[in-house]
Amino acid sequence: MAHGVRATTRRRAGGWWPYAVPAALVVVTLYVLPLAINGGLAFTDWNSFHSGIAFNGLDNLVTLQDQASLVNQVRLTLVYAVTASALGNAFALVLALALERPTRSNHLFRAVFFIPVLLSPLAAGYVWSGLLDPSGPVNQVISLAVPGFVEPWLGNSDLAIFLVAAVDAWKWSGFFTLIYIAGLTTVPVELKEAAVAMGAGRWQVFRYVKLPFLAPAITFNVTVTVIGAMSAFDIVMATTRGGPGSATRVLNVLTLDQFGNGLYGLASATSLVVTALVIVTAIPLVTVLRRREIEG
Amino acid sequence: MAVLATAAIVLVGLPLWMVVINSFKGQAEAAELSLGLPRAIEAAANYGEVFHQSRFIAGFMSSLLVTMASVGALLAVGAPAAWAFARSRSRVMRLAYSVAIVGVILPPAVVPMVFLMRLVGIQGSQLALILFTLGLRVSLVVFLMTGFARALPRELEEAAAVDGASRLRTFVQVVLPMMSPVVRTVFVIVTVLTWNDFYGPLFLLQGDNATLPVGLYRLSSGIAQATAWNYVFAHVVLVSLPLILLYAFVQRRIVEGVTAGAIRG
Repeated sequence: MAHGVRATTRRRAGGWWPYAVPAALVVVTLYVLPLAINGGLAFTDWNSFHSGIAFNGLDNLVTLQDQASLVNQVRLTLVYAVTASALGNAFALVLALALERPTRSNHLFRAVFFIPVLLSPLAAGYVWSGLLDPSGPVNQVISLAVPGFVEPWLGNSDLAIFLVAAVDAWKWSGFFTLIYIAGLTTVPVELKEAAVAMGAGRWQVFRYVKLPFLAPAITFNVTVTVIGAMSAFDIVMATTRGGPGSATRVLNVLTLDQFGNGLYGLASATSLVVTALVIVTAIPLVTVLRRREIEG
Repeated sequence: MAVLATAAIVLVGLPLWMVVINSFKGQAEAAELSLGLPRAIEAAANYGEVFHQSRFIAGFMSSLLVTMASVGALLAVGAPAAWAFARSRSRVMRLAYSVAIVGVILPPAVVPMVFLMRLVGIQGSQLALILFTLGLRVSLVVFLMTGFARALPRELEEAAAVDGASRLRTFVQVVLPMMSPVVRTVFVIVTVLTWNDFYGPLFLLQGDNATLPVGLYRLSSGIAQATAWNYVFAHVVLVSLPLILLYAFVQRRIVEGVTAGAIRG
């Protein structure tokens, strides 16, 4: 009987492809092909002002650096990604530890902190444009303590990039909280009890008992936040649209600006920079985090 | 507990209160952005104006069409592929899986998509955005569903094979029902992502085909100088409500599904 089953399975082993072909076609034609074409278009002079498309070598990258200080915008994008990831994960982790036990009130709090996850990033951006408006609630509250206090927040070119990244963290932290809570449920109860019985304090229980079990959740959350923030767009468009000046002009906003001006080759080149940036950050990031997971 | 309640009120309660209460005020009063109750309630006028001015019904239908078509197609191609990737041991299939999930990490290329859609003659239409969304999300769908399918017990499938059921019949009658939890999870995740997407439609849709987020953006940038907060916030309420309602119905399931996928992956 068992032998028969195995033979049946083996006989059909080659017959899996019809099930995978539709998905494979979608991936290849609608994802891989555009990505490959982008690699080509990035080195062309394609624009809306003339009909031909010709290769122009590295001209686009040079132009981007000269006209839009590409290196600086890459730096801004990285600042955004690191800020959004650090704030979002720190907040989510604290929240997860506070809401770890599945009590009724904790379920309620989890649901409340999850609401921003459901808002579109664009809507979240408008919510915070309102809150941080010079005449908005944040300044209203501060001026209760400091009469006459007015800070333009999003209009402050030193602060804007951090604030916009913080909105990103606000929008996503409810989701990462759930992932951390799921990670915490993998900590064996006996281990926690034993640690407490041996006199371990709250910090020690966290550091030596819970944290090692959280490693996969940390890997997932940090990777997703950093990579996601490299493609930041919606929140920036709703809050600052890249300003003041180009203080929050992250790469995807730069892509849109070039595209809107009909400079498609330049837009492709900017988009290629995002892809490259994700590759060079994601691979080392995942490698380092995975290694830490194994070491515990 | 007190700290948590304060955090929940300050970080979620007050922002949402500001949005809702100011969407009820007249434009001049909303410009003060105060958290106080409205001196005059202009809710009907505001929401009516947003409906009219942002062509809300058209945007809603466009969002609904794009979301339903994309999610439906993604589930239809994702489920069988996930089963095949989970069960086949051939090298070609393993390689195919690695290629299929590349989009989980890498961002999409939107400019060449515009180029291709122009070539085919459908740039600016909802179909163009649907095709872009398929490419954008297929990796995530395959990744989440394959992770789930791998953990399914094989016994039932083997029993069906012994009974002489074809592979197709086994898939439809045995495997699909077992995959329904992940189908629901992926349905909700991809619905939320597609409904809320702004980047794709901004590049790929034109004119009257705009989805709701594009409508919101146009509404806020179309009004010169000062932001008309009453209208912007009314639109924020309208665009967010469908997802909050959807979530209220399926809450527990997605939470379980998403977190299980993440920890295993």
